[in-house]
Amino acid sequence: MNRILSLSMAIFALTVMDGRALSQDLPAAARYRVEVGKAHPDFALPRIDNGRPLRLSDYRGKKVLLVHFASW
Amino acid sequence: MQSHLESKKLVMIGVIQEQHGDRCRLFQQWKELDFPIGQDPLNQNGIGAVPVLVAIDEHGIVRSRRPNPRTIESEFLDKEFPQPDEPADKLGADFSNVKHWESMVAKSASPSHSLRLADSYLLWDPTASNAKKSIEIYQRLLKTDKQRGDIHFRLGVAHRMLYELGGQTSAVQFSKAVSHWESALATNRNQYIWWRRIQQYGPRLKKPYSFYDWVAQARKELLYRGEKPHPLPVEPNGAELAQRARSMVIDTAAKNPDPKNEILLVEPRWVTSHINMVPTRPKPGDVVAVHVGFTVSKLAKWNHGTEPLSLWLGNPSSGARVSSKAIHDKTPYAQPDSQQSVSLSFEVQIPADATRAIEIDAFSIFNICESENDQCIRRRHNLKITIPVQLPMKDQ
Repeated sequence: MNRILSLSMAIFALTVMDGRALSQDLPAAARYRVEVGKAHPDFALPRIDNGRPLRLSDYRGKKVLLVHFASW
Repeated sequence: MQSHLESKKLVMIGVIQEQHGDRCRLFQQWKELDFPIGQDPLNQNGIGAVPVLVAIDEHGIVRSRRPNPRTIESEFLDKEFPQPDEPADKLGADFSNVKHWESMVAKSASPSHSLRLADSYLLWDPTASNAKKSIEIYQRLLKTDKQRGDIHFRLGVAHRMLYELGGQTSAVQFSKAVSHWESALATNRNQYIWWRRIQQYGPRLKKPYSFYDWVAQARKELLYRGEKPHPLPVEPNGAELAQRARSMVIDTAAKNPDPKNEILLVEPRWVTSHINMVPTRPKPGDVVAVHVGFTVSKLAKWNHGTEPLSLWLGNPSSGARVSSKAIHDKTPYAQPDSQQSVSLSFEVQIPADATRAIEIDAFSIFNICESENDQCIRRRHNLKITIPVQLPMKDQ
């Protein structure tokens, strides 16, 4: 019940919001910019083998080789 | 590098930039990749091309963008890096929690929260119902800035997801996916991850390579190793398996399997078809990838064991050319009977002087088992394929 209520409120809030308000707070489009010496942005993505979150921050204390790739 | 991983001096983690995580799961099994891999189908991280390797120290600080295997030990692994003055970014613990973002939006439906909620639905609870909710949110966000390529891209992902979650029965969803990916790319021609998503379903002349032809080899080798290949809910279709072409290859050798129209037509209630094309708005001179989807009623089944579904194309109008006259379903079905939607693809070369839409009369032949009388019969389904051609604007 609570979930339905909160979702209804969310949709209502989105419906009444005007375009001007929306544009004020829409985060800028992400661009992958990593700089040596700076923190890598954290992320949480579903693992392809079990669906659980894969978070970069869970590997603090370890040296990490992060590889972005595709199977194609 | 392997020795460093085995000695646990180094941890590898992967992020893939694909629409279908399960395909990479099969790839992971085949290649025996034992490191964790996350899926970023929405291109949340904004990466523009792959592969990218980054070495990150124990404090979360980037130490190299292209670590050299010869020097990684001395320059990275054996070094102790100082604690940074400012801690690395941390995400909220509830990032992957859909309910958390629903409650956040309920408190304040800011665009930031709304974007997170829409992403969260698709990443963490990808149901047809949630895909629809995400589409609604992205569309609302896009109203404020139609040039937001990243939102267009997400909309494309959501529509394609909805198309597949709905059993690939709604041509509109596929068409909208491609259209939004095209809009995304129009805002940034150098975003190769976005471009790849269109190429995946596009004509062979615009493909860098075949995207998923490794799937057949992977399955073969896994079975040979005695392993059960990870199942794919959505099989790569013809366009995704098609090799790159440097010129339009025309196969006209096939013979019409029913020239006298003798095979009985299937009743419309048993089989429906839908058509999509990439690009969505082709111009004269373009090559178009045409995808034809076939769906069987829930009360019937395909019987692929007797004969795979095939599509026969008549001569196109206006001098257009088709890549092949006859296309056959080559999906490796686990069982001869199936209710899975079938998708076949071919290409059409639109003449440079085309002045109107291209029309192709086509028909498919298949075996279908209707539950009503429990018979499996050979049937024909006629369809007309119309390719709209976007003509250049005339000078006033």
